[in-house]
This record gives sequence, C-alpha cells and structure tokens, in this order.
Amino acid sequence: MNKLILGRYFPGGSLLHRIDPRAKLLAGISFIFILFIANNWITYLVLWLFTFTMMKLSGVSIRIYLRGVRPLIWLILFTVSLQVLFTAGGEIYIDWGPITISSFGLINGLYIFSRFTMIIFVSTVVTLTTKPIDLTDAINYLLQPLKRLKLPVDEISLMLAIALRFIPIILDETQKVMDAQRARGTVFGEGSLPQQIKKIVPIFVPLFVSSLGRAEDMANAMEVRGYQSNNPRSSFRRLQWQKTDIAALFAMVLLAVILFILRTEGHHFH
Amino acid sequence: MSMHCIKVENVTFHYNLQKQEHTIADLSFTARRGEWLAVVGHNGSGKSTLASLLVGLRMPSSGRIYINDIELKEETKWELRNQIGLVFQNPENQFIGTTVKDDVAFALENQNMPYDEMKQRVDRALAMVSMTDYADYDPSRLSGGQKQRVAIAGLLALHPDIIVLDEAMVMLDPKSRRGFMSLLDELRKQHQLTIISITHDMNEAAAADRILVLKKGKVMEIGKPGQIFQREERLDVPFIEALRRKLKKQGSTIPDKYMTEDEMVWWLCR
Amino acid sequence: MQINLQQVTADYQAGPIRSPEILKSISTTIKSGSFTAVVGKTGSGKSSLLKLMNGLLVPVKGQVSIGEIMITSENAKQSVKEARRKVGMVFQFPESQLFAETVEKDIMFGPMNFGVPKAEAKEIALEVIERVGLDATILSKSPFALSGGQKRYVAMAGILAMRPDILVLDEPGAGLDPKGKKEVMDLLHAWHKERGLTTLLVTHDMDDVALYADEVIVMDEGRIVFQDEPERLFSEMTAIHQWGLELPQARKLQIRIEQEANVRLPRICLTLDKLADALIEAGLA
Ligand SMILES: Nc1ncnc2c1ncn2[C@@H]1O[C@H](COP(=O)(O)OP(=O)(O)O)[C@@H](O)[C@H]1O
Ligand SMILES: Nc1ncnc2c1ncn2[C@@H]1O[C@H](COP(=O)(O)OP(=O)(O)O)[C@@H](O)[C@H]1O
Ligand SMILES: [Mg+2]
Ligand SMILES: [Mg+2]
Repeated sequence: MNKLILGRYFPGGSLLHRIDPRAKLLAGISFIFILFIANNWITYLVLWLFTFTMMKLSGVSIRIYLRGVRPLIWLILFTVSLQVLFTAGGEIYIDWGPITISSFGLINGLYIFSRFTMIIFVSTVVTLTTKPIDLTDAINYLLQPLKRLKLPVDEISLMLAIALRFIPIILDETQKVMDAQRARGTVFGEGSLPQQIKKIVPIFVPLFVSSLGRAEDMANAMEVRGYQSNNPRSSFRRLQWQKTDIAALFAMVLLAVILFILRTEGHHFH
Repeated sequence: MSMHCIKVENVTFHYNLQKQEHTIADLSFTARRGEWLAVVGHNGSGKSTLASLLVGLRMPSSGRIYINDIELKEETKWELRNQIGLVFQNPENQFIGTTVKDDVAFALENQNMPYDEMKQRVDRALAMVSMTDYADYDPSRLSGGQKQRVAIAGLLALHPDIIVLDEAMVMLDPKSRRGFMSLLDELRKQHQLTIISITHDMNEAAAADRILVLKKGKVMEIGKPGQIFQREERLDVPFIEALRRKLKKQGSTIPDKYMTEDEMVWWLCR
Repeated sequence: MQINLQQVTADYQAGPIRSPEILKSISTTIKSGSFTAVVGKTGSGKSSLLKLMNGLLVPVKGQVSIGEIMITSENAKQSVKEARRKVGMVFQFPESQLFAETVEKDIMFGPMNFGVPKAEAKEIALEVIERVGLDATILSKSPFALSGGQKRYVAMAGILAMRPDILVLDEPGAGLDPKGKKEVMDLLHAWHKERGLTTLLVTHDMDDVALYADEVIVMDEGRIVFQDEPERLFSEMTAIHQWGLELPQARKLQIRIEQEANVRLPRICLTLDKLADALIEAGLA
C-alpha cells in the first residue's frame, strides 16, 4: 500500500539518530545548496561518496532507500531525458534537428540524475533518522526569528505536533472503516471511475465524523489541562547542542570547501 | 476550608436553548474531601455533561458549582483547573504529547513553569503511576491501561484535589481495569484525592463510598451502595446483590438486606 | 455452516515493512450451528482470527474453508467475495461504520452490494429494524441524529440485513450500559438460535462466555491454545492464569466460598442461576 519511504521515521540508535534535529535539518538544507557547487565528475564523485556514507551511517539498509526512489523514478527519468535530448555540445552521436544526443547531453543528464537521487537519499536520511516531533521542534527553533513578525510560531508548531500525533491514529481508523465496509460487500479498486469515487463516501463520512469527535475530545483535553492559546508557555522538550552537532555542521562546511577546490573554474555546462 | 470540596447547587443546563428540555435539571449534591463518588445512569442520562460542567468546559444555565469553596465561573475556571482534572473515555484522544513524559508535562508547560520544576514534577507523577520506565515511549506503544495511567499522571503533576473520570475504564480489559482502580484508590488514600467516577460497572460502583444515580439529568438517588442497591426496582445491581435476590426468591433464609461480598461469604460459611 | 482452518499462518503487510507472523499455523474446526467464544489477552490475535473468516486477512500459508468456499493465498481475490456474502461481521463500536443520509439507506448498503434488488432491500431494512427493536419511523432519520445505543442497533441491523450464515462479533457490547449490553447480547443470541447461525464472539467478559457460548477458543500469542466447553476451561485454574484470563463472577465466588467454608459444591457453576441452585442444594443458603 504505502510504499513511500520519504517522510518515515526508522527507529534506531545510529550516530545520525543521535545528532540534534536542528543540526540535521540545517545540514540537509545546506546539502541542497552544496550540490550546486559540483560541476565536474570528481566533485560529483565526492558527493556520491558523502551520500553513501550517510546512508550507511543511518543503519538502514540501502535496499530500503532504493525502494524509496522507485515511486519517483519516472519523474526523474523524464527530467533527465529532457536534459539529454536538448543539450548540444561536445561529440554529437545522434542529430535530429533540435533533438540531439551529445556527449555533453549525456554527461549533463547523468549530473541531473545524480542531483535528484542524492537530494532524495539525503532527505530520506534526515527523515529516517529523526522523529517527526523532533523535526517539528527543529522547525520551531529555526522559525523563532519570525515571531518578531508576529507570526504565531509556537502555536503552529503545537498544531503540527498534534497533527503528527493523529496521522497514525487516522490511518488506523481508515483501515478499520475500510474493513467494515469491505465486510459489507464493498470491493475497493474495482469498477469505473464514477463507481470508484462513489465508494469513497462510505469511508470518508465515518472518518470525518470520528475525526470531529476526536478533535473535540482533544480540544477539551487541552482546555481542561489549562491550555490557553495566547498565554506564554514554557517548553519541556529540550534540544541540546553537543559536540557531535557542531561536528556535523563542520562536516558540511568541509564538504563545501572540498567541492570548491575540486570544481572546474568558470567552466559550466549551462 | 470546608469538608466539601465540591458543592453543586441547583445546576441546570441545556445544549439547545430553543428546546425546553434540560440535559441537567436542578441538580444538587456535594462531595467530601477524599471521597470516592460513583456516578451511574443509563446512556444519555447526562453523566458526561455533568463532568464537563464540573471542570468548567461548559457553564451552567443556572445554579452554582463550588470547587474548594471557590465558585466556578469564567473568571475562576483557569485557576480552578489546577485543582480538578478530567480523564476521558478514549485514552487516544487525550494524549497530547508525543512521548509519555511530554504528555505529562503538557499542563505544566501551560502554567509556564520553569524547566527544573517541571522535570521534578513529571518524574514524580510518573513514579506515582508506576510508569517511570515508559517515560520516553511513544503513545502508540502503550496499552489502553498504560495510556490511562499516563493521563492520570498528567493530572497528578498539577497536584489536584479532585479527579473526575468519565467512563475512563471502558476501553480497558478486566485485568487492566482492576489494576487501574486499585492504583486510583491507593493514590486517593495517600493524597486525600477526591474521585468522581462515572461508570457502568456496578461492581466498581459497589466499591465506592457513595453512589449518585442520575436519571434524565436529575439526581434520582445518592447514598451508600447498601442504600442504593437495596431498592428492589433497580435492575442494574452488583453480582453479589443479584445473587442474594435470587437466593431469596428461591426460598433461602438469607437476610433481606444488601450485603457486600465479605458479608455474603461470611453468612454462607456461618 | 462449518468453518475449518488448516495450518493457517497470517500476517499484516504494512507498506514496505512486513509485520511478524500474527497467526501461527492455526488448525481448527468450528461446528455448524455452534456459538463459539474467542478469548485471550489483548494482542493475542482474536480480531485477526475473526478477519480470516471473511478474507479481511488472507492466509499466507494454509487454507480457510467457509462451508464449501475455500480461501487460500492463491485464490483469495475470488473466494473472498463469496465468503463475505456468507459472513456477517459486527466490529467493535460498529456505529463508526454508519455513513448514509438515512438509516434505511445505510441498512440497504450491504444487501445491495451483494446484488439484492432495491425493492427487496427496502423490505429487508424494514424487517431488520423491527427485529432489533427499533421503531420503523427511524428508517427515514439520519443515523447521526440517533443516540449512541440506537446507532449500535442500526449498525447491527445493517449486518443482519445481509442475511449471513455465519455471524462474527467483536465485542458487540463494549461501551454500553449493563442493560443495553444485555439487550444487545440477548438479541444476537436469539438471532443465532432462530436462524441456526454459526457464531463467533470475541469478548473480554467471561460472564458472556458462561451465558452464551457452547464452546470457547483461547488465543495466546497467535495460537489457539485451548478449544472446548466453557466448563472445562474454567476448571483449569493454572492455565487460565497463564493465558491472562479471568473467571466468571459466579465461578470466582464459588471458589472463594469453597475455600472458606471448606466444602465442595456439587458442580462447576459459571452463572448466577447455577451458583444459586448449587448453594441451596449444598445446604449453604
Ligand atoms: N454536544 C452536545 N450537543 C447537543 N446535545 C448533546 C451534546 N452532548 C450530549 N448531548 C445530549 O445530552 C444528553 C446527555 O448526554 P451525555 O451527558 O453525554 O449522557 P451520558 O454521558 O450519561 O451518556 C443526551 O441526550 C445527548 O444526546
Ligand atoms: N492492521 C494491522 N497491521 C499490523 N499489525 C496489526 C494490525 N492489526 C493487528 N496487528 C497486530 O496483530 C496482533 C494481534 O492483534 P489482534 O488480532 O487485534 O489481537 P486482539 O484482537 O486479540 O487484541 C497484535 O500484535 C497487533 O499489534
Ligand atoms: Mg457519557
Ligand atoms: Mg481485538
């Protein structure tokens, strides 16, 4: 059913699991920028080495990562083939007017492919090794400056955290309601499109009703325990910077520096 | 401070102002400090509504509620929420934190309490319900009974005087139910807690100090279990009382008055 | 209709991660016309066992026979459809499956999915709503406007309307007041007798086992560890403890009385009526 790996958490105790979520989030974002420094085969090789090291360090098997890319493979191949077909330069292998397959095109396609997959792999590393709630904390922390603009950052984070809490519950509930309707003779995934759409109603209505009930319970539980939206709240969840977190960010800087040294000066494929 | 920690005076409440029908009609009762008061009544008799009135989630249309001699009003309800807590039926919907200890800390965060004090109170509350080992657990890994223990810990962290339970044991299997009840009883004795427990379980009600029978929003009776179950017309009675009536009907010389289990065993073995 | 399981192993496949085996090589026969209770600790696999009966859970290995219908991992797609026609399933808190604008439409949903014509489904709806003790005027109301107890009855009527041969019940009385619960159980039991159904009941309440079941299955860690008459089960004191079960209230009291009075009552008493009789017979009361 749900084959998407990106966005899932994989419990474990690896070095990456232990790094502060803020460090991981920053490192993940900076990796996307660092990708654009690379412009020759050696820099891409370094990036691939880095990516594979991270995947290994996460303690999750490479097969699971590969499965994570599969749902997106057509999107990637489409973009890559555009690059290959519409880039000219270097040695030309096939030439059909505007469509050419050239050595530059092939190399460029390979680079684009690498960028895509590496972004997916590295963000998967981040989400697989960070609890969603820790990511929420990290986002909350990084968004703190926006409070000056009167943005309700803490409220948004609390809502996000509660939403995260409810996702597995709602998925569970969906399963139950689907089972109940199956037992009453509904066959999902069969029939014409209008028929299939009609079958959503017996799932959606009960889910909607029960979610309303849950939301009301939850709001009551929050109020009974003294939650008032505009009051200042202290935070029990603590994020703690450790040496490894500094080291992680330092590693990213180092990676950027290495790439700068190895990249081809002033010579671009674009 | 008077000995009545809850005083309900002529409270009336209706959901629909258009309709004359009252959900709670001219209801009065008191509860003593350290008392276990069971509230029983059929589905729809207004038990949950009463619970929401007691914790100030809804305000009476008329009449007054006093918690520790302070009248429960819009202005006082936030302050009184430190003194009275509510546990709902569905443990899933009242779990706000992402881990056990975060959830216990929720009410303390709302008080804007400094971290060190929170930490101390959370640890103590978890120890009180024997859930210390589960502090870092995700709620989905807990059983129903454990979740309700955490809910209790979340209230205990505030050092309340009164805990209201709205059918909090319905989702638990009989074993967890017994464990949960004896835990509550112990906490009550150690900390002079007042417990108001809404329940359908007549054996649980029989173990309470007093029982309040609610019918169509009115107090039908309130008194010691012996008094309440003595009445012949009551259909729902604890097992022992049902057995006593059966024996009587079959011509036994068993006394014509309510007995506890110990009394019955003693009488049978005389 | 007889149910037969042969060496059934099953698990849940959740996305890319496969769950461990939930049911481990289960073999059993449930006699046609029997009322069988399924008991065991939370997580022991009771609900999963029920889901085998109508293919909501498909065996990885082994086979499930529902009368003539045989469900295996190979033929599941077809056989499951036939099985669902025969098996009516009342889930825990079944009121959460209501969705239609009117009670009538909700009850007609099941029969019509199985090809019953609209006019006939309407007739069935009227018949079952009266059978569960609700007034026919409720048919035109929205199910969401009903009280909790009424919703439960409507949901059950929706299952009974499918005219199942096998009734599978997952704690049908959970969350109701004692009177409501007894009414629900009595209704289902009466339906079982009237129609000669084969019924499976998951319950935590050992008094239900004592009152209604003629056979009891104990589940423990995905295996059937016991299957026999309730009287036999409730005399196995050590095993009961090990499987995390309780005793019926009457039996619990019987044991206490026997210990404290140092007597033995003439037989094992699982219900209040039997205990009262035995106490009088033994001259204790
Ligand atoms: N939020 C609500 N809006 C309107 N009516 C309600 C609401 N909650 C409960 N009621 C009605 O109030 C009555 C009492 O309900 P409740 O207090 O939940 O009873 P109990 O807990 O004893 O089953 C019922 O008739 C119910 O339908
Ligand atoms: N949809 C599901 N996906 C994965 N695991 C499940 C699912 N449903 C139940 N399980 C697991 O199967 C085991 C047996 O569950 P269940 O049959 O519901 O037991 P019971 O009804 O006796 O409480 C439990 O360990 C439970 O966690
Ligand atoms: Mg209620
Ligand atoms: Mg179950």
